Amino acid sequence: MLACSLHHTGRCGPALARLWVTKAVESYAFAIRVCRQCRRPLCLDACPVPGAMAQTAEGVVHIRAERCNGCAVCVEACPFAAIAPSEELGLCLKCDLCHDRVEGPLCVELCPTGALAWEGR
Amino acid sequence: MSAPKGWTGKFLEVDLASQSVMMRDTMPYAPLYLGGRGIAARLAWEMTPAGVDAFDPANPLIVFTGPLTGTIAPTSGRTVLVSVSPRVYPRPWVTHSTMGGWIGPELKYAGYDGLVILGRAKAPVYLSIDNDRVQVCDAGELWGLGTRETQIRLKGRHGEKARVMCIGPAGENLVRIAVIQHEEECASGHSGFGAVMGGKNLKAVVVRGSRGVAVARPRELLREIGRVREVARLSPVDAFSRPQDPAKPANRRPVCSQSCPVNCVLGSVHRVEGLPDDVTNCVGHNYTGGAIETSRYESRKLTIPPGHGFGPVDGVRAHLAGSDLGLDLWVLPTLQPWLLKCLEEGVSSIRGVPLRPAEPGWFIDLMQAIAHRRGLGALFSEGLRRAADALEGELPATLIEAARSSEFAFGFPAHREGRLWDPEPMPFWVVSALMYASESRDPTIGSHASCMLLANLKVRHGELAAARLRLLSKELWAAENALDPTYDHVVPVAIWVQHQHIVVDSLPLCDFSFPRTIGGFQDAGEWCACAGNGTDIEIGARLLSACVGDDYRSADLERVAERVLNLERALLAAFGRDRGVDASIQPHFELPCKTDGTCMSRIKFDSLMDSYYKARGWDSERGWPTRDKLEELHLGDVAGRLQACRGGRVR
Repeated sequence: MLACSLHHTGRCGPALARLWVTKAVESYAFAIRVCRQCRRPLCLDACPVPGAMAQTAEGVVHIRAERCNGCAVCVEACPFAAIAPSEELGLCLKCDLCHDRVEGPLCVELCPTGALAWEGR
Repeated sequence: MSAPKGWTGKFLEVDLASQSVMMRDTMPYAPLYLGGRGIAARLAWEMTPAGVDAFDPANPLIVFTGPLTGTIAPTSGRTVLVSVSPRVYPRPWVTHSTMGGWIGPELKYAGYDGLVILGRAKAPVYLSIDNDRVQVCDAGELWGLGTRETQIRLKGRHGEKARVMCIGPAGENLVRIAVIQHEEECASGHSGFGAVMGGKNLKAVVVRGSRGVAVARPRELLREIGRVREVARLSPVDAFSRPQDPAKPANRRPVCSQSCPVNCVLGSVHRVEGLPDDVTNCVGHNYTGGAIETSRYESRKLTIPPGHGFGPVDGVRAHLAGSDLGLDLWVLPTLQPWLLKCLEEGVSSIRGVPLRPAEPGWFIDLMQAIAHRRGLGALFSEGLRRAADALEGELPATLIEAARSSEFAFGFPAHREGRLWDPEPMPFWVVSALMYASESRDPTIGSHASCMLLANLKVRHGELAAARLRLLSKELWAAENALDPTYDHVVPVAIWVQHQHIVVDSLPLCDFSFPRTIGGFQDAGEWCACAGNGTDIEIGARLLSACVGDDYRSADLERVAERVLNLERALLAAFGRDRGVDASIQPHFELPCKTDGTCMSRIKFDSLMDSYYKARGWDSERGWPTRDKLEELHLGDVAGRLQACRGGRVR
């Protein structure tokens, strides 16, 4: 989450990240929510703001910060709870696989145990 | 002026008596003291009345992060606490403690570099920090609950993302070995700060923050993280994370702190039917294992038997109980071997209570009694050192002596001193002795950086170590003999270790797993292959520069460390610490080192302290910083107040 927020905002903070990892005190189990890059993205269909959401040629759905108004219709449309509105930034956030980064997703690069891999789609 | 990077630029000052909240500026403190232990030391100097008791409402509890906290800098998720410690024997003084986890970063995300808590609430309260909204809330319903239930209820009230640090019954009942607990596995442990919270009627601090920490040069930070990883290949970080048996898959271990890239060997998850998941770290492993051989000490002057872990089921039960009650988990490896020694000496009961310390149920009951100050527990709630005073004349002198040795260091458990717990041979235990003698608490974590790994290598590969340590010595201290097994050259090593540790605590970084580039090798081959990788301070300076956007050099951080150590020493002076008190630890070092049998005479100790004080620029009579030294470190104002202490007008 810190790599994610750093790449997208120049700041480190889980609330600015495009994925959500939580751990309960009751048990040592983690819950991870992250965009699955659906082949038929319902969020993209639902977005009411022209150009606020787009899909790259590789199929990555991303939110354009300069156009998104944070209406959160995409949040409702996502069946995997993998989009969330950010009060801090005033827009909705979802994983875009760092599509603007030549080296690929930063989380993959920084994962210390090699648990993440980017294999394209 | 643009908003600072790294730091948030503000910290909170909360008075629980008046329920007033004040916002203060961090930046006037940042250039000279960095953050964490450094800024907290300065605030303690400014805000703590000299000689004040730990439970006095005027004693501030200072919780501080640093410029790296909340960023992705490796192992930077830590938080530093500073206050007058009720554990310190014979009378409290200001000390520090660090804690991993997620609450320090969350405080940064809420917009604060730190938090100073003053006063005492009239009734139990907790402090809620939700970005700009800071409230003192009623904690009547939480008082008496364990740390786990307290956290669950507060997360229920403030959301699952809220971070909580809290006390259990031990802190509420002002037990001197009470911790501040955070999540399952993190605690501000040794310094008794749980009881400081209890004394303030403060059950918990809940933090929720939705901002981020600005990083000045993200690309540079990423590059430095890559460099740390390269260095870490030849560091304990990697050694800890490797599976013991290459044929088996690596254990899945939990990290205990945000931004930790280290799957270190310290963390283990235990799942026992009918109990919550439990995570043990470091000292916690003693609960779930068998015989605690490390606690065995045998010499002509003193014997301590090995402790006795309770195995994978009862051990988890006991470990969970300790954390839930909010007790320092060292209660097992310190108190239990001593109770076993009581049995060996024919003392089968104390004050009418039969002793059965190897039985898990009995020991859990004892922990309960300690946390609630009931029966025999009331005695040990004061710490073993104070209990020994209370039992003098009641028990054989050998037992009183053993108890005093177990917590010889101003009431802190013996650790990294080459005798009761760890095997550091000469000269490593001498480095520790100098640190014990000059600092506010046991220097265990500081000596992790140097003594533990190098000393272990020397124990395991003596001849090889002799050669390699000379090379290392030349690289770091410009003399080949600094780590020779003599007393003669250790002063610069002790000073170096202290400075490394203060920088790590002020940025702050993990003081256990941050890449200490001088040690941690699995075998002789790796040790031979290792070249100099720089020091923690060098790495810290690069990470800091990337995060805050100003160029820091190692020399800058070294200077900060020296300033902070002198300020901490001045704080000790304000609480009556002087050369005479320093020397009170010396008899412990007359016990033979458990590895090589060496021990330190009074004459040798005095001579070493002379050299140390001189190298520090402190006077030889009291071991206090001189005016010249303080002025050189931009601490001229400190010199004035210290002069008043010297004249006996303060305290």
